[in-house]
Amino acid sequence: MKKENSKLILYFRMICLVIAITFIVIGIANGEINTVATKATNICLECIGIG
Amino acid sequence: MKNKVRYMIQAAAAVFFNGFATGFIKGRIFRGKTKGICIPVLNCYSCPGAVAACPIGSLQAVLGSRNSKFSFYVLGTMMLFGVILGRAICGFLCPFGFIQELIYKIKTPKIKIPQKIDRPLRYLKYVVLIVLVIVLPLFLTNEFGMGNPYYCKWLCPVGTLEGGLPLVLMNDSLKKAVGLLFSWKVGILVVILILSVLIYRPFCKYLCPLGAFYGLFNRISFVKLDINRDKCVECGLCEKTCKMNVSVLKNINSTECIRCGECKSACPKQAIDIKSLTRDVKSQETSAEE
Repeated sequence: MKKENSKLILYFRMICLVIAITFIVIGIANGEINTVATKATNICLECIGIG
Repeated sequence: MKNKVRYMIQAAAAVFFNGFATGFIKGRIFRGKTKGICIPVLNCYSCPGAVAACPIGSLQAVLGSRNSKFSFYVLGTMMLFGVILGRAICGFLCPFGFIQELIYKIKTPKIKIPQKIDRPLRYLKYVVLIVLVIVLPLFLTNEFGMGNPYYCKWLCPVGTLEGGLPLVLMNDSLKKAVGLLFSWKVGILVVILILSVLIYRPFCKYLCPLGAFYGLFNRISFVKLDINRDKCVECGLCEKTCKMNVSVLKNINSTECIRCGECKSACPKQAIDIKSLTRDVKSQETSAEE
């Protein structure tokens, strides 16, 4: 029972890992990294409590 | 693992994520290429020292932008960190978690929140994640279709501590722009820091949206805790030691466990261990074959 449960978790982990890597690749291809970089290289007025 | 080693890792992580020392001297932020990379912890990208991007801030930035309504890159990065480390990130890498832990070391009587109040309050961080981080930036948009980072704007104490205070103190133009919102955010920060003296990691327990997200991966992450039931005598010392109030014997990989390892150190029978699931399955297969 515990073995089956562990295997299920292992499969679920691998599925999440594949989804995560796929998402990262799609995101980079979509240029999301530029959106993040643009936001992060300018002072975020909302974050610091000004805007 | 001894707490001293963990504190050293936490301190090193805080320095590593905020390694742009010039920023603190000149009162400006880092603008290099690494700013597009999401780190695993809540660390404001408007901190003068920050060399990379906060995932929660980035998630709101992409969700609230005009072009994208789903953030593959940020969600993928968060999932990847979650699957590998789970909430060990909170216990070992988060600078704000580290600050709260240091403050908790101040010698005063501590408050243990009754379970009736503590349990429902733990769900608050999921509300913060869903409402302030995802729903509002997505749907409460201006005429150009852009949403505000509502979590950063109204709640995040990390932005105030790491970004707001140093930048406002070092820039006259920002000092002049300070208003009611800044006072609100400083108020939140002060309340959380005061509570941290009395309660262990109150922000992590009740409000952190990133901790809420990583908690979902605690059961499947590579880094896990495991109880050897043959060795365990159910003395309950692990549960008494756990400052995150995890029911160690019932659910050692609870969404609340930050993998600090204090239960492991407290166990008189060395029944608790950090394991990878692959190793666990293999050892079970071997014992089944025997």
